[in-house]
Amino acid sequence: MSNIKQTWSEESIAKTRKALKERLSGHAISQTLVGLEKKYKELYDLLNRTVDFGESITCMLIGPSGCGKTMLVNKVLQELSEKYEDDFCIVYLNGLYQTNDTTARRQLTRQLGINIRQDQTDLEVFDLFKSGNQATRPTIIVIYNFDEFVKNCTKPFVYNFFNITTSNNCPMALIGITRKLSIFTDLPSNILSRNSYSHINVGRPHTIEIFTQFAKNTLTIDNSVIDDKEYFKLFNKKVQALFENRSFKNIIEKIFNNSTDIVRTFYKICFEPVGKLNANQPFLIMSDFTQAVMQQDVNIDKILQGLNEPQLWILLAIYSLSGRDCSMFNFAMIYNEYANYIKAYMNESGSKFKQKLIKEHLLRAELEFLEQRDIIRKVDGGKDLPKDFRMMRLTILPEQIVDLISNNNRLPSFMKKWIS
Amino acid sequence: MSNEVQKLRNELVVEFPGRTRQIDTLINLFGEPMEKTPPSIFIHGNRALGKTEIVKNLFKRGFPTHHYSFLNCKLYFQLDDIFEVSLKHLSGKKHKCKNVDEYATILQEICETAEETRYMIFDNAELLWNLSQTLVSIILNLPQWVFSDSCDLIDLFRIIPDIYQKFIQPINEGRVSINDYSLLFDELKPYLESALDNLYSQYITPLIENQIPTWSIYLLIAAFLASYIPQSLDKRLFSREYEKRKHTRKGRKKVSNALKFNEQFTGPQASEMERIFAIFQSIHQDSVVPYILLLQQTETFVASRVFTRTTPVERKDVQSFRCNLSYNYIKQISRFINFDILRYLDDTL
Repeated sequence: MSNIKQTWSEESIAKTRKALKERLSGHAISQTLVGLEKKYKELYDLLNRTVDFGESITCMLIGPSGCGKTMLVNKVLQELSEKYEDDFCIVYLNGLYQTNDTTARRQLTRQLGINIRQDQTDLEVFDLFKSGNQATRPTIIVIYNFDEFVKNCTKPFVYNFFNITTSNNCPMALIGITRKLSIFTDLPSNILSRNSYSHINVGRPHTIEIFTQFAKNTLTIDNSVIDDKEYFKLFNKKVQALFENRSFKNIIEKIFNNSTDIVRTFYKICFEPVGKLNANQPFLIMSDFTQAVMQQDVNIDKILQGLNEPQLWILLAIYSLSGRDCSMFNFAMIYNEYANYIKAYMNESGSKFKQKLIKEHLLRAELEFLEQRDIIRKVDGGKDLPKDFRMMRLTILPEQIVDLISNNNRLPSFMKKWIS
Repeated sequence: MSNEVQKLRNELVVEFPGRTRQIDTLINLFGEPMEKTPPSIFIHGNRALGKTEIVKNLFKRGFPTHHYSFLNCKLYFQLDDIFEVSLKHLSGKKHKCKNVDEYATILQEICETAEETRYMIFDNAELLWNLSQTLVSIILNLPQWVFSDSCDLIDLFRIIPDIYQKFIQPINEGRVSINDYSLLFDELKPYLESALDNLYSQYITPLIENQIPTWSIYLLIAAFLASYIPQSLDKRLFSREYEKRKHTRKGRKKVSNALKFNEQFTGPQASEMERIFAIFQSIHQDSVVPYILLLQQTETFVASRVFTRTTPVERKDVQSFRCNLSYNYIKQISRFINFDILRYLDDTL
């Protein structure tokens, strides 16, 4: 590294940071779709047929979360609107929000700018819709969480909805986005038989090479972001160096192998290092990434280590009960077990030893906290029993309690003695 | 980082010692006003560590009023409330929305016109899961949120003024010098202990103070015994003839020890009304209480949740109840009327 410390303009750093953050938060539409080029072409051709030739189509996009379904659609729509500008309209529906016929209908008409009265029936609305709108502009309807949409809306409604696509007056493309592979078997058969579907399966990156390429693309910048050529060249060079770093490779590998949603996990980890870009630190550095990984890594061990002494006493009592074949327990049992141990210990060690018993109501509050954190969970039934007697179950293994207690050096010795 | 943010950061660091890393992380994630933020942030940790306070202060001082909504899911526990309040925080206007769809639409309208990020903060966010099955996924599908997990901050604040009074009392009286901390602490200790004991305890106003008749207390005890003692032991414990015939302490001891592990922890069992009244007659022999009065009193106890009715009200032939009082309370009231409850129950209960 050269000793000459070149100062970069604050503006270009801020611009870079902003652009990268936009990518990481999922707002930006990326320039290239790594590994999805084929699917992109497929979808583009389909939608192009609707917009250009007025052909109605129905298409399903199926794939696991974070594989780029939404990105694919957004990218295609962006391309189309650049090409045709305002010659078509887009409607977005989401199966999570539009949970019944009424809301779906209202949302549909709202986005198309059609006014309907409350009391108008579905049939009338669909007729209105079928007859075409604004000089029969092609319409693209995107439905997120398509499986929920089909589940929540009534069958006739979905049927009618699909029926519009067969109408000649109004060219329409219906894109359903879903994670459920079983979507075709879930659809009612009369709907299935009526329409022909094209479906595009989007898979997550199959090899680590593709994923690495994707990750690199996310962090590299070019002249569309800033004009400062020297800065972005050096910036990209540093990113390149990062990807050659052994420990960074490890991070990427870990994400690829362990996460369910690899893309979002990668975004999550990158956010902090990117946020730290400033005049004093104009480039991404390795240590920030390692730190972010450490922080983002939430596991049960960390939560357990943060527990305080009364909470640990509860866990110990539960462990002691489980040693006597009691997998289910309630507060009365826990407190009894705890009090017995303390009393027995005091008898054994004579008058020298004095340990105050934690008051019942204090321990109860701690138990409630453990329940909030889902370390213990209520067993179904017995809902109308007084609180102290409601049965609960441990969600961690008894061995985890042993590990936790024996590895903690700050705890008093008589606490540790209980597990041995 | 602009000067203002820097100043805010320094203030917070001073105010929350030991939380520098967390504050820095948060500020870093929020970034400049026009920049994008992560879609959702999840803050979690043990009780009373300052999660809520830090987030609250950060937003209060660092962001304009309508740019964020802070709501505690313990206070707003209904879907409509959460929708209405959060929209009110963000727009300053009152919106009525009946369902998620309308909520999302209004939110979209609010955010469309703004370039800067809007934040929604949910305290005690784990309660959102109880509201509706899809609510959390719905919320996470909308763009920007901050979650803060459980935190009973801080009941201690409630008692600190009183404690402080006690703390400086010896100094005011001139008995102890200001610098003698250990002596001051010793003086304070008893107050501190009693205050901490009362911190979480929910006091039920003792029924005794409400001056219910003595026989009602016997009824409570009878219901308690009926709830905890298996029916098979009734004859042995409550029948007078049996007592006359064979009355050795040893035998009883053996019986009650057998109870120890089963009945003690499964909680009170439902018991038929007839049985409760029979036990009542057995332990309360001073005078005869009219049946109708007993019925009335039982109804009152059910209304005040001291008893739980376990059979439907419509069933007139059999009615069963369960007593919800704790053993400690029963011990206390039986001492009050000089009734030896240990005759019937082992002390380990």
